[in-house]
Amino acid sequence: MATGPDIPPRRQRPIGHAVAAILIAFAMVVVLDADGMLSTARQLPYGSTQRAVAVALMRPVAAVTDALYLNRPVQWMQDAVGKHSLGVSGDPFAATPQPPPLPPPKPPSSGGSGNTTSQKHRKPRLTPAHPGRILVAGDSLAGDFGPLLQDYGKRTGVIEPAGQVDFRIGTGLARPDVFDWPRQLREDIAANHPNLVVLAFGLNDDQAMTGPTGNYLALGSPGWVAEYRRRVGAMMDIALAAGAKVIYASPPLVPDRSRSARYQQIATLIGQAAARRGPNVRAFNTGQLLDPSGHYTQFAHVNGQLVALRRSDGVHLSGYGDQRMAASMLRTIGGWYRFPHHHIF
Amino acid sequence: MLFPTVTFAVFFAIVLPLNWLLLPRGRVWSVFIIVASYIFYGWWDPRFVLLLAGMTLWNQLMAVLIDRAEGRARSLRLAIAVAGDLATLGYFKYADFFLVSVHNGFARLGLDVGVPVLQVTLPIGVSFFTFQALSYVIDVKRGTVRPAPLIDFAVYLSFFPHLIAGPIVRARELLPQIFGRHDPRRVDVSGAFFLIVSGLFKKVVLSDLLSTRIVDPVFAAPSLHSGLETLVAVYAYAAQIYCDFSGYTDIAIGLALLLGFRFPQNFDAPYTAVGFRDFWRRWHMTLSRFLRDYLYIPLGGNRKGRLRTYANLMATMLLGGLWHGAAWTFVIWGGLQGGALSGEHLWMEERDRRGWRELTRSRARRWIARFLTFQLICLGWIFFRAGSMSTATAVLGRLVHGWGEPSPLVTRGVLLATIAGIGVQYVPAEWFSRVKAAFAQLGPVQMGFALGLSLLVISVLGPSGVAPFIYYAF
Repeated sequence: MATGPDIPPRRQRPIGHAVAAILIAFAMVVVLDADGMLSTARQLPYGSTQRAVAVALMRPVAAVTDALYLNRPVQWMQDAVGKHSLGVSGDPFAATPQPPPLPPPKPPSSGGSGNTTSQKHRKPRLTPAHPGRILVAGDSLAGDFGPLLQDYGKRTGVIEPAGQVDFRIGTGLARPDVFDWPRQLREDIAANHPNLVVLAFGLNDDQAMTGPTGNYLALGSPGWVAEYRRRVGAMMDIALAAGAKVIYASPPLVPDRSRSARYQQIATLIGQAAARRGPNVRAFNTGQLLDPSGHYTQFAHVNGQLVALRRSDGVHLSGYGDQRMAASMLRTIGGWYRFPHHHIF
Repeated sequence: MLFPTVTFAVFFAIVLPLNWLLLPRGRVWSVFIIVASYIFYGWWDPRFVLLLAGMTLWNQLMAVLIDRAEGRARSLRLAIAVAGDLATLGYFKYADFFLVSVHNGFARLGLDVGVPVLQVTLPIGVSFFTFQALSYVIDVKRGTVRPAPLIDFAVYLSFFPHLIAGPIVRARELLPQIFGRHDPRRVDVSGAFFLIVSGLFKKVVLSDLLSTRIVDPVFAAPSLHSGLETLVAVYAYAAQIYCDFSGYTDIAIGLALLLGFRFPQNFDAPYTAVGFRDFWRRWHMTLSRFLRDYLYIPLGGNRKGRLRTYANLMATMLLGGLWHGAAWTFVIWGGLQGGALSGEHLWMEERDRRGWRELTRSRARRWIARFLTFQLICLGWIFFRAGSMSTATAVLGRLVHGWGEPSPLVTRGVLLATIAGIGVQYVPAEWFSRVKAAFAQLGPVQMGFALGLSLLVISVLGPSGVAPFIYYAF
């Protein structure tokens, strides 16, 4: 970007001017977008000093700017571009219907289909006139395998995508103040009318939460365990209430062992919530599928060859990992319905 | 730490004034900026700070040893230094690819050799600081740079604005600035703000929108999408990768300017290129010149005959492809670049031999050349973006067979963002210079309001979460 001959050379400034300009810009953002800054502060991990300080600083600023209507210009701009707050205060998981009564038989809770011959005969058949409509929603893991699952479904000729895969990076159930997943799932279901809902949450949920009354719940504490199970169940109930069958995938194991242990705990809670809700909900244990030994593995042995299961970050799935997960999910759907799948497996 | 986050804003707001307060105090400033840079890098994973420190010690030791040696010993020590750097890079980037390839090669012969895979996690930015370290030891051997004191070399290697994704700054560009005097009364404030704001807009608004709205869904499952969606996704990816990467380096260059340092330019309207040689003079310029000066020219460049020139071009671009990742898609991408560059050389030689006129002389022909070059670049991006060969072929297949189907992903917003990401490169550079010159005339208060308003607009238009930069992974 050369300066043309008729363009005056840029004026060099004292660094003090830059610092002053930055402070004015920061002040302007803090005052005019105090709600956004408070929301950003609240998104920091619960229990951290950083969050406590940021929230303590921003809360009174947000209250004052709201009282003086200083936050209106940004709200108008957000309205103009159709952008609304994605998080919610209070308890968005409370508004879901109560789970149906516990059925007598315990359904299989693994990546496999687990169907028996007698079940097979009772299974309804999916047809082009009565297709499966599959909605996938969740964190970045859903973004990994979801499109492929929809693709595999489409190849059967009787399972069609119910809308685009709705995945939100860095979200989960632990922080409804960051992203209100219950509301989003209701909207996705209302817009796309799925009869199969695949959910994947947990990758970003290994953190402290606040309970329904605003009480602090340390990660892994009894209160946290009960609350997280309740939230998982609430998501299942939203889909069940719409008449859909639900597959709920837990996060995979990762290289960090302590994090893997937390993910395994989340998988257990998903299994418990699914078991309470009967045969129309299947807990999909991703860790068990990809790492049956119980230890993180970057590569899988396939016909004597080593194939990468994960990407280089060790968390997200490789193309083969996605395939494996999508194919296993389709088998799980095969536990409910009959459909042509010989050209996929 | 990611640039477009509040955490980084707070970090920089602390570092900026301290930087200028301590700059006159030489060594104290060096220690301060190393600590700040290590905090910046260690925010992601503190363990990898040890890697950065280890690379610093190794390369400084070897630079001093190379400088003290004469004749063949100098070359030998350089070879050891380069081998050490490449071994480190190779371990983190290619060890598993190599071991898996060996295992699978034997497996195809029916032999199970049980090669142990290492399951290595890739440290972010490792390629960038390894390349900077390589340029340092090679330049010391060539005599174009004297070994710097350890602390200054540590600043050069770890300086946080370039640490994660470049630009690849050479020792002879940055070290003199570390030794030199910095005048706090003469800082290119308007240039810095312009780069930071434009970089944020490209990354947070354009790149993330294109990524989530069309590129990721289409490349994740091409068969679910129509030919039109696939075509728009390919062009959108061209815009996305430009906005993402040039956005990052614009922010990096702007931050460095505010700290009193000048980085080399990394992008110069690459999609206006009229050929592949022109493209590589405009795209990731600091990597291009690294490959040219430390690989292509030492291989013989164009000095050893026509065939050797083509072979050198192909080897350079194939290695450039592999630098981006250990996958066949990157090899194909590198091969396409090498093939196109060789073809262009061949064409120019024939043209000169036969006395034909230069094709790009007329304005219309220049536009045709631009159009064709851009299409071929986009063809390469398909392989670059696709995670596997099967995805790449599926995308190509949809471009042929997927027409006439509904295209819900092709929205007005996606088209506007794609056109903006590509079209901004056709805006005359003088226009930007005029805007910057006008901005420079503002007082600090007006400048602050303009900056604040820009940040608010970016915040409103951008998505709520920011995805990592594409070039983090390289």
